Amino acid sequence: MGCLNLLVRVGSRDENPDQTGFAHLFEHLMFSGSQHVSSYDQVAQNMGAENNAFTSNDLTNYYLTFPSPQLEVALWLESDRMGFPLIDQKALDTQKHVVVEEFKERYLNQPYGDAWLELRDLAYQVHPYRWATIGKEISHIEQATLEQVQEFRLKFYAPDQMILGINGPYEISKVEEWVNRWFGDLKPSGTQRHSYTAEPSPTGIRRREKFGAYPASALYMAFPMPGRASVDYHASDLITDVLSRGQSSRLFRGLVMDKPIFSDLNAYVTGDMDPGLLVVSGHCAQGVSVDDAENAVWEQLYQMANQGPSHDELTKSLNQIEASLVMGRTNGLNVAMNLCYFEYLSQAEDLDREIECYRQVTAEHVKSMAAQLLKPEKAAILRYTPSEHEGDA
Amino acid sequence: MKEMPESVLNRSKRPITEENAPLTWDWPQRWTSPGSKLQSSKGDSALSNISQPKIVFLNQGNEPLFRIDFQWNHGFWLERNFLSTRIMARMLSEGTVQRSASEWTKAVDHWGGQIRFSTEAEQTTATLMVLDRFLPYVWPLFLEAITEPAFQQEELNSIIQSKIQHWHIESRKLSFLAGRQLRQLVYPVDHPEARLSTPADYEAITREHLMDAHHQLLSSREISLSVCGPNSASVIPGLLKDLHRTFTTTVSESSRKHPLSSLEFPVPAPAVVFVPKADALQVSLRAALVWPPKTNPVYHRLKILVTVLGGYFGSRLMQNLREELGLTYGVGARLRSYRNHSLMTVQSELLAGSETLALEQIRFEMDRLGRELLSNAEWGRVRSYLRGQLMAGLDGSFALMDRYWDLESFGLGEDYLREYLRTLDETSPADLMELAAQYLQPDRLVVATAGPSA
Repeated sequence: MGCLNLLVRVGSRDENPDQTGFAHLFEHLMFSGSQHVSSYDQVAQNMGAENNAFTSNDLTNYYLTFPSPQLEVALWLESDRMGFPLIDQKALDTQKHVVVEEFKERYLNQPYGDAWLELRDLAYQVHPYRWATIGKEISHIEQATLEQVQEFRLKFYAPDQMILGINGPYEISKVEEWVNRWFGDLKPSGTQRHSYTAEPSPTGIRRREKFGAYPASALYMAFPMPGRASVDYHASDLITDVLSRGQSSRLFRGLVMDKPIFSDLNAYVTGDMDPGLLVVSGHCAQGVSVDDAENAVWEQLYQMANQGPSHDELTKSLNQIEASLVMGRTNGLNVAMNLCYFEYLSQAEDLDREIECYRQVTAEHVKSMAAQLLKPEKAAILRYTPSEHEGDA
Repeated sequence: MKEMPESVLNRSKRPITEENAPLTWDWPQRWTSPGSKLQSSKGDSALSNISQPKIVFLNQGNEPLFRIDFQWNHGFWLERNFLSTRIMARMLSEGTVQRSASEWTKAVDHWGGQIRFSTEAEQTTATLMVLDRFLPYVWPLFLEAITEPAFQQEELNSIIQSKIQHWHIESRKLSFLAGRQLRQLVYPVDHPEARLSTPADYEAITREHLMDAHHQLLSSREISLSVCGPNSASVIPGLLKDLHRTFTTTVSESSRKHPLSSLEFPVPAPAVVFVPKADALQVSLRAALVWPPKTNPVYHRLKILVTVLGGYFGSRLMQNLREELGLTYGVGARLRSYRNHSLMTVQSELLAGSETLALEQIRFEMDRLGRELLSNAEWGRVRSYLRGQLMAGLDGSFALMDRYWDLESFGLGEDYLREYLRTLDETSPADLMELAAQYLQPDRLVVATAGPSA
């Protein structure tokens, strides 16, 4: 099979605070047809391809897998919608409805579905990461106009804003020839990457309490952490690996199994380009108060900040990470995606050096980052408590 | 017309010898070869006194990674105590007779191993993924978990409480409510699929139930092992020796026959049932028809039909409900296969208040497929898409192994994929219309919806 991945350097962080959800809505519209292709999907299906796309805070990503001889068709197809999309009012109206239903399905119509809408709003004050990719509110999507769509396209959907990743049994010279043939005539936008307003370091703990008909208490704790390209990123990421990766991890073994304070508990990083978040989140066990649950997590975090990981814990995490990276290489599309992402970060070649970056981290570095990040005054804490009365405290 | 080459699966019953290995998937010339080699053995003499597992191994590319799977054709439909097989599978990674849960998980994690146990309706699977240099360390832990689980009460209590909490959270979701209602409408009351779990069912699970479920599992005659990794043939002798040493369960002849394999149940009566949920913002819709199993000759064409209806982005339902009416983020139709039947389901989360319109449109599209011929353009598109899907499902050694297991579970394998490609080539729009008229009967649909009261 062949895989084509196209990363566009635009995400929800590029949106106007009054027009959020736009990058994601535009992603939907890119399936509406183009000047020489009335239906993207129909052509893709005719070539035996599977395709989809996703949007994050930092990027919009389109991908396609297909029988390998179809690469040139795939390039033609992708270049046509990138260079000559046809988006009319009907398509916009339909996709607004679709995205609104997606908003409800994922964020509003299930317990804790709004957690990330709330947590971002709590953890960030000025940076555009303060709203979710789906948008801050449904009205922003409903109010999008065709003029705004066109403006957005001209600014961001141009070859100088794109990274193309291809994986398959191909001669590089042939690939270059085809890429030039189909993408060579697209005009660059000249859009300069602006720097985003830096989030000030928090000076005090921020809390938000949600009361309502929740099935269980839930806790979300977020701490600012370095961005993906920072030299401290890997050490910060390893904090969460030691805390939460695998069934022997501190949080799972300590607070889910040995002392069942949580029914599930995880630590993870958002891995954003700009400084992101290190998050600990879980659902409390029946009968455990959210206060007790939060205190138990703080104990674990203080221990990590004061003592760092043991040699065994670090070795374990590094072996787990290496296994995951190797597993990721067994999937051709995953490789194409990662190549694009690392090129976006700095250069594609760094993908092969990722495990080295982790292996160079010392226990002392992890400890130092934990001490720096896991402080109460830096925390944004969102808590859900079952109650007969809804509303924020 | 493309000719399906002789399948590796076709050759998979040969004994392993240097002469007949390697076996190469002879892929059509204009497509690429995955370059993988699949080999198998059945009834190795060293194992003749135990479970006689079928063993398959696959040399996978250049990655220094092993994946090893055990599969038993024994799932939770056969459990003697409700939920016991599912909890037993979860508890297999919570310590052994030799090692506490903490020691066992620490040892597995230390080498970066990933071990998963899962139980489906008719199968139970144990999977190990590990870097090749750590296989000698993690493989014994894997076997130990399968053969000598401790089922300690303390861990069992934590797992049960966690499951109950998860149940409470899931029970607030519309998809959960609609899905459960649908199962009760489709299956008769004494069928295992019709029994719906409650927190009390979890509370009732005991350590003895798990030990019984574990004994039942290891007594299952139908066990298979697959090894997928770099130069996997070289590790097989060592693995077999370990297997012989550790698997000592005597298999009873009575366990050879799957008691549910011939279970018949009446065609469910058509119904539409609504489950109210006061605070819901959308409506969850689940609909089903009971169809013949994967082993039935008509199954390939039914799979094509489901794809046309709702199995891909350009499907009738996606075009109608999402692209034309904007009622949903997604709608799909799929086939779930069991040994004695398959279940065609339609599922969607819809704009509140639109369920009547949506159901009308679903029935309209079902009916239309039985009345109007697909255009050649649409049929060509579906055919190409399905060919591509088949290739994608065989791309890479792990995917190839997944597909192998999928066929093996149903006793298929010999010609199944070749038959499928032949069906794709030979089926006509008229065939599909006739099939739709027979199988996609809108008035036979069983429907469950959950959402806000009107």
